[in-house]
Amino acid sequence: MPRLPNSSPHTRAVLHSLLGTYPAPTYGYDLSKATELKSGTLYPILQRLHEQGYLDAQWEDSTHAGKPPRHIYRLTEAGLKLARERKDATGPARSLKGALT
Amino acid sequence: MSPDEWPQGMENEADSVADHEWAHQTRLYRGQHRKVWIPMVGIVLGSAVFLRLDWSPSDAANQLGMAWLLVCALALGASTRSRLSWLVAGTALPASLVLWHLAIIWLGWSLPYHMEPAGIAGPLSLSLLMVPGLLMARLGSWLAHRFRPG
Repeated sequence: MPRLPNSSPHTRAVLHSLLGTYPAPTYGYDLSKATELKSGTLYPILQRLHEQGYLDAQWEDSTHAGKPPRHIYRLTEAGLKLARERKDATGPARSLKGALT
Repeated sequence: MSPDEWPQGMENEADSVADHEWAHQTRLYRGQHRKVWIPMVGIVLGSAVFLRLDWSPSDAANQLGMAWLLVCALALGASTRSRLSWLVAGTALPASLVLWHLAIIWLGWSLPYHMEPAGIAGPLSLSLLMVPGLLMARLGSWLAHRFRPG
């Protein structure tokens, strides 16, 4: 039986984390810590979800002086639906500890 | 957000967090996050020079072409980051030569030198150049991974 797209454990963990904070946006660092995924695994997943229209990625000005703007990520409507489907289909993944820390 | 903005986003995220280990790891990955068109341009230019050198009956050009193939394969292999992309680096130039010779036969053109064996076997025999190409690309890939800083 063919595997569902975006159903790998890593992608599910990312979707679950984003779902846990929705509609609040999340930073890449928080997602990395929450899912325990390294940058080299997390960012390709985020990029793919973004290219597929499941993830909204925006720049956010830093609240700390001298710090550069950061990317914030939030599920789109389609991403929200996908995250719920993947959660229902395969059970819960790792949860997110907090958003925008 | 365009694909070009992702590396900058990673860099900024690394600059924004106090977790130095995570920031270091992210910068390493961001450094590997290269634009794919750079090696593609290398392959196109390398192939163009390789085919130009091939279009000559002189032995010097022939030897220069072989040296060019080895150098290009080494450099392209060293520029690759993903696990198996050295295979592309090693086969790109020989494959371009094989296709070019097949195209010449198909178009009914003639080479500036006598090709042995004649016919389709000639271009196909050129695919043997993939052996030194792959060896040099693998060497380049290994050297780059061995001595790459960070």
